Amino acid sequence: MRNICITRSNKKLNKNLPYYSSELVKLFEFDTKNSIYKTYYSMNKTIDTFILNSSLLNAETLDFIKQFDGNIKFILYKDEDIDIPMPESVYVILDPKIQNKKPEDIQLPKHIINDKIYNEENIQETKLYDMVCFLDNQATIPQQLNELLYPNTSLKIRLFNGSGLQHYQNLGEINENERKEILLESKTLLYINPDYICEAMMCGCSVADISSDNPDIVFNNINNPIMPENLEFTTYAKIIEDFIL
Amino acid sequence: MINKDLGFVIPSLINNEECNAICELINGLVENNKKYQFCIFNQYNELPDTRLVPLMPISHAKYFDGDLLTFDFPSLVMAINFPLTRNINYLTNSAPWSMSYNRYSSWKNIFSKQNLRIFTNSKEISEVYNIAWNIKAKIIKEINHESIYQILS
Repeated sequence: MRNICITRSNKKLNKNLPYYSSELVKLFEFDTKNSIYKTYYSMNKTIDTFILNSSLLNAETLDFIKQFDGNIKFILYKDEDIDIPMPESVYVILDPKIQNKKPEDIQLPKHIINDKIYNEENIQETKLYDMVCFLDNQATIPQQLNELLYPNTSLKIRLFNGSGLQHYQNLGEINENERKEILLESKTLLYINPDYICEAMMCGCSVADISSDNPDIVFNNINNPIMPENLEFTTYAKIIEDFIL
Repeated sequence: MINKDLGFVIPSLINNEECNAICELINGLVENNKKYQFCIFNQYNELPDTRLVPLMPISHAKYFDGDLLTFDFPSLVMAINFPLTRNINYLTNSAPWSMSYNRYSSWKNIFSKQNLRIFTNSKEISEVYNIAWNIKAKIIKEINHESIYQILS
């Protein structure tokens, strides 16, 4: 039995890994706002691996790494390009969007899906709504998206996970299971970053890139959404097997 | 024609302008439709005279099998959970999910009910319900007992 603790965060990797707890590997989420020491000792020192996000590292976590380096496996998930000196034994895995790669760092594939949720058995489309956009990790509604929302237009766009963003079309917080239900119910996924293109493909959703600053390009993409096909992807099960265990 | 049983969910009737206006509206509705049965489901009442409409405890609403009319969001949340209600009519001028960030599943549980009908006098709110929930909220120009009778008919 391996006990793995992963930082609680809204990043896609952090939200999906805990679905892979099994009899052999237990994955727990922990909050860096609480003491990492407290987490470690409250579990009777049985944690084998910590997966830590670079964006959420604090002084206490860095002290903990120094103290337990060699006894516990540390994996630094670089979700933001922050240069923090780390002991050599710390494994570094990079988010696909991070360009600054050292030879020993492992870059995650661009498309990773949660095959516990997205598998052939539980995919049944019922398209009730037009468009959906996920606002995970966005502090504000991006300008190019705002142009598409009420009252600027009456396009039927539903927004999710825009934590604390007040807008008529922001319908609240969802988990990964609910995200799948929403993709199954929606015709088109509007995206600013391509995190969920593969999931959209599996749920029969067309996709439209709205990241451009040029409104003409954005409107053109919305009017001509693409049906993603044959995207290569890997699964979180494989990521755990290859990089974490 | 209104369903012969119409209930109003008003948990708290306070002696203020808003509640008095609601009671006036209900009384107008009752006076003009004497063949039908009306009641208010209520938990607290400080109005001296609700005149024509009997007050019943909210807990009794679980036995009620007519239509309900609610005037605010907390009342709607209660009404959603009554098991026998036919149609739930919600008179509103707001989009509650945009004011209080919450889990989508909570909002979906309310706004995806097949027997929910929304009425508003704001074109903006009507459009917003259509965009967000595919609900065609009916617009009523003026809120009075005649317009309420029309929408419930």
